[in-house]
Amino acid sequence: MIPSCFEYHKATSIADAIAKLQDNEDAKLLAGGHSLLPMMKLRFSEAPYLVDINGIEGLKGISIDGDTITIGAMTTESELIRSDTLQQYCPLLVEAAKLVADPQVRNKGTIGGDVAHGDPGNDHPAVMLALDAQLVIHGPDGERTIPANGFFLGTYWTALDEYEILVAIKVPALKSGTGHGYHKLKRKTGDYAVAGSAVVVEMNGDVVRDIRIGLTNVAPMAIRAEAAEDLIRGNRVDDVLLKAVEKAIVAACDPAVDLRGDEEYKSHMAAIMARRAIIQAIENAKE
Amino acid sequence: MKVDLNKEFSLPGTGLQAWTFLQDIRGVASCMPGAEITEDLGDGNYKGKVKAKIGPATMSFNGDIIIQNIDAAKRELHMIGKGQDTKGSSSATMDLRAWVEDSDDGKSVLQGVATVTVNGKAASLGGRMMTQVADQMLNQFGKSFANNVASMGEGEEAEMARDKIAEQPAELNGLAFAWSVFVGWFGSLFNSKK
Amino acid sequence: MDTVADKQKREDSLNGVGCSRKRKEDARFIQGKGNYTDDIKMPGMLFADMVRSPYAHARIISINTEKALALPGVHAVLTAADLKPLNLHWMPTLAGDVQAVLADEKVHFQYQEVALVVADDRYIAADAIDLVEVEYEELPVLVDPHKAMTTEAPILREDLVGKMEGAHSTRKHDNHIFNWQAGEKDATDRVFDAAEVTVSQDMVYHRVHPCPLETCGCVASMDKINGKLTVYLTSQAPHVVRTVVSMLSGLPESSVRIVSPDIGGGFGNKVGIYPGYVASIVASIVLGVPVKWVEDRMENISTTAFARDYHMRGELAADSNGIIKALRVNVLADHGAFDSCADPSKFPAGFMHICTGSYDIPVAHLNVDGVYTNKAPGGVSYRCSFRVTEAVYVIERTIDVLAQKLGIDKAEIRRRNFVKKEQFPYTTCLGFELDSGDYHTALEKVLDAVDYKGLRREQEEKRANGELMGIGLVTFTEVVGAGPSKSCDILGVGMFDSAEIRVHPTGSVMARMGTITQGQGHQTTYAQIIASELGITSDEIAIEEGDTDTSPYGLGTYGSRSTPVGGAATAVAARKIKAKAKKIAAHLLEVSEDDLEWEVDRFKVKGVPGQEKTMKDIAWAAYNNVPEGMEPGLEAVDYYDPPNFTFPFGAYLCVVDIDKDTGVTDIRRFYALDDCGTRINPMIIDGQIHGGLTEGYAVAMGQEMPYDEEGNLLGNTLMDYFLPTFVETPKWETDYTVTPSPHHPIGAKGVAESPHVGSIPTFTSAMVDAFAHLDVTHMDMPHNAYRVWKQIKALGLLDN
Repeated sequence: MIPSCFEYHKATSIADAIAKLQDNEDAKLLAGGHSLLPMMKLRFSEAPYLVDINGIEGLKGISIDGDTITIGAMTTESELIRSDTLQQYCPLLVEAAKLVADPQVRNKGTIGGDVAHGDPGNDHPAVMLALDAQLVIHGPDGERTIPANGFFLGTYWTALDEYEILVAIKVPALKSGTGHGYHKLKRKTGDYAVAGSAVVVEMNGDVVRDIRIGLTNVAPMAIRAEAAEDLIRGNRVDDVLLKAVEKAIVAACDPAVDLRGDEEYKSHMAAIMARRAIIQAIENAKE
Repeated sequence: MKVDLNKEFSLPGTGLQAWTFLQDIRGVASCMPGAEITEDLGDGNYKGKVKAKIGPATMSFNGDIIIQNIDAAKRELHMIGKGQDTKGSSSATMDLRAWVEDSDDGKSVLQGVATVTVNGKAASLGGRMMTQVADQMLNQFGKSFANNVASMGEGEEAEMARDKIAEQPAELNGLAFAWSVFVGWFGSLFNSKK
Repeated sequence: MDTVADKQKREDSLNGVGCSRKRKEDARFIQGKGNYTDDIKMPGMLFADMVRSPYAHARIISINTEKALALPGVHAVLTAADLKPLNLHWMPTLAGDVQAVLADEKVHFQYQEVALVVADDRYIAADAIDLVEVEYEELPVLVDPHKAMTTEAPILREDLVGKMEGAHSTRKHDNHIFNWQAGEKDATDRVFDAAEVTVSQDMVYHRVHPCPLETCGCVASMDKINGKLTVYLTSQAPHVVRTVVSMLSGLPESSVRIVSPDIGGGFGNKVGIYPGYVASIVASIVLGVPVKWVEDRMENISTTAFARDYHMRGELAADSNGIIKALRVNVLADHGAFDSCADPSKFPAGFMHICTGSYDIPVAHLNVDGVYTNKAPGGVSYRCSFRVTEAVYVIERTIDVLAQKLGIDKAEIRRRNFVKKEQFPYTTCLGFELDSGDYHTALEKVLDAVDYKGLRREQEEKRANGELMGIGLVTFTEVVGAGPSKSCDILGVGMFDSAEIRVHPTGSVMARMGTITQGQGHQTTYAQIIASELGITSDEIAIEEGDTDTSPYGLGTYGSRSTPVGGAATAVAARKIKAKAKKIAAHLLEVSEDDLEWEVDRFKVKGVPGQEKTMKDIAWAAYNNVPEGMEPGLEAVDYYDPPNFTFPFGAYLCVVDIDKDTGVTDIRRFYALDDCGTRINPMIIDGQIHGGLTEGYAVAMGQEMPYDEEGNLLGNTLMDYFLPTFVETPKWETDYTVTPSPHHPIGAKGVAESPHVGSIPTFTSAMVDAFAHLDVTHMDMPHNAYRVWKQIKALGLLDN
């Protein structure tokens, strides 16, 4: 439970962090550290060189500009939870953050780390998919902004190129007629999801004009349940439709087998979590 | 901890080309980025090593590869790879049967059935993602194998394939594969099945 | 003048037995000022770490320590080869087997100790571990105990091949450890053959681990100049350790000092002697400096004393009214690679024969077979009172199965079969003499408190609505306080215990016992006993345990034995002091002893108000004014050999609601009534009950130690091993009755293990009850959401 030797460097700016990544083989970014450090303590990761990006200006802060909220990648889960802006204009993120790990981890863990790490059990990717978020990335070749949809490619595999750093996340501010839902099934406080689902709906009266369903930890990465979304889009949701939606979600899942459950259980739980999140989203869209 | 995998890769070359390549053990090993044969002990026995990086995690294995059987009639290779990680805290064994089938369009398909057994720390702690990681590694292996088969042919596609092989990274690293580019190129040439 | 109110005030100021006084030890614990093994620092101390096998079963081909030794800061790397000349590469276990200290030619379970690295600090030691190169040849693995005695099973213990006389019985296979039986086989079989009704239920009490907050560790220090070995370690039995260490090392006990400092939870995990301790002691002797070894969480869960792994069949024969005529229990016990079970030596299956429970059963037979597998060694731990957890589980589950078959209410069938109050002391057909009990009163009190009839009505309504609600009920009797030395010994040392009490001239007290607290609150409860006996406030009574140089010989603390045995020794020693004090009082008051009566804190002359001497007066006099011929001082020692065990009992009821969609269970209500006889500190008892119930909840609802077919232990970190936080833990309701033990000096029985023993079958009973209307008679633990959902699906309860 003791990591192997490593060099620790504090980056002074984003450019400095990128330079350090380029100059040192196998260098790793240190953000909140609560995904990386356990791997290092188990010696699954023997990163010889850590680049600490805590304290870099420009990576923190939550601001709102018209329809868009910009969140610095180094914003901690606790900061997300406490944010008045998010509570009012993006409550889905607040709800999801509350269910990440436990209070100590939430004080250190960052939204950027959670999004960029690539562990299929991380909670924010599915939320990003449901929100249709945009990810702001800095690299040696400059800055680019790409949609979250398509960013998550596999286990520990995202669209981040070598030497690129996620610096901010942009999410849409809640509009009227939009509802959100979040449900996460876990064995105990602090555990990864058995299955989790984040849902955003845009209502037109009783009809669901648009819907995005994100699923956590039931595939090599977070996924959108697109076939299920297609069944709902443009329709009224009732028990019969929800049954069909559940079937579609079970079919979309490809979970790993572990002590949380086998494929059958996890896929069905994803369906239940999604169902509950959909109902919750439609309910609070009315308010 | 045992994981059973069945994989199928469509190949851009003929069955003969694919079977020829399948018997080139060094070549096949090189399809797994990060893997190489270090010693040929003769009699179908080799020493090899693999360095795999999955995100922040790294695993380095040293081990033996034993060719159990080569069946030219069935175009089937049966091999067993056994390795220990360099710290001796995990071991992995892969029992693999791979064979080449002709497909209707004059091309071929590589079929593989593997049982991977992982013991030690990797099984106790890494079990959560073993299947997904093994799956990902084999997918990349398959693309690389197909690439090698393509390069054995003539023409522009083969030329491009040879270039790609040269560019291949020294280690299995999800980041390093310009994934979207590769998929796009590959898909544009063939009606790719999974 | 001394009024009733004054007397009450004096009584209260003692903070003695019955008072919920705050614990004296808590001030240092909650301020982080405890003194645990890892807090111990000694000059020149080195740090040790263990190289462990990744394989469950393999031959060791070679061990190359060159690279590790070359790392700067590494002082030594010990292997079995280094221990062989000292004959320490194997050590005897408490169960009559032997255990490898460092693997000798082969490894038998995953994470088994292979080599000890000693370095300047723990960081270098951790790096050095990675540099030790071990070559293994993997062997076929055996993890299923049911396959252990087949002809195809791989032989695990090559060191025992050909030795068919085991420590407890003849071995019928190389992987067989022992066979143990109690009761009458033929008589029992005859009753079963002729019975009106019989039931049979197979059940698994799965392998779990106590997982105390503090892991195991030691600091071993061989002082070559004084020729004395001192070892600080996490031990629930320091004197036994001293005796064993003396025997193994050849050093006389007078040159060995074992100290158990503050211990962060024992639960039976810290009774045995682990390879880490022995190897560190050897390292210290060889290197001549102190060596510290502290394991990490994964090492603790993977290699130290696990619990249970009993594969049981319970059978009852009864008449159509549900009156039990006979009990038959068969057990296959999986002990892992070595039998290092911490049982009294004559009982390889512990006190499993308490499986007749709270019931008046005329005849019974118990058969237990222990086997080896490629898993961590052990079996007895985790608050089990030596297999009482397993015994209570089998009888409580089987009587429920009988009730279900006959359509008799689960409370009613118990009423019909209870040992009645008038029958105590009651000798069970398997040989225990239950000291006292009142099972009917306990049961009725619980049923009234929860409105049992109302709950059953609610359950019927919910069932009609397709909802899953269960009510679990358990009425347990357990056996603790090992034990009378004629039957109970650890490695030949009888299981008495001891107390030494000394009253100082100014009236305060120092006492030392042979037990050792790991959080039970001895510093407080022993002081309360002495306070009530001697009339001195417990605030001024200092209790010490754990240092073999100063405390009297005791067998330690486990199996809830401190109160029944140590507490008895304490009371008896205090009474010896009181007897001497009476003589001194008589001398000071110039009367005969017969003229004196004791009241709270003083001797009074009968009928002569104002003529009295307090214990404080007497203490002073003991040092300067004793009667002719009496030696000065005021102290006593007692070694107490208990005449019998004690038998705490209880009635627990649990209500569950199960979410059909997810399999998640809500423990709506848990009502626990315990009877531990005289209650020394009700607040501490509540704390013990809360802790035991929480552990029971963890075991029944989530903890497991899954091994895959290759013997890899999956889930050996706290990510998977279920330790509930306060968020998951149900709210506990506690209640009590008081039925003192007639043979104990203060009538106290001990309580700490009851909630663990009793709650686990209660949870299973509730879960099964939720599905009982669908003819489900049993569900194996853990009842986590995944397994419960699979059951729900299998019963066709999900609309598809």
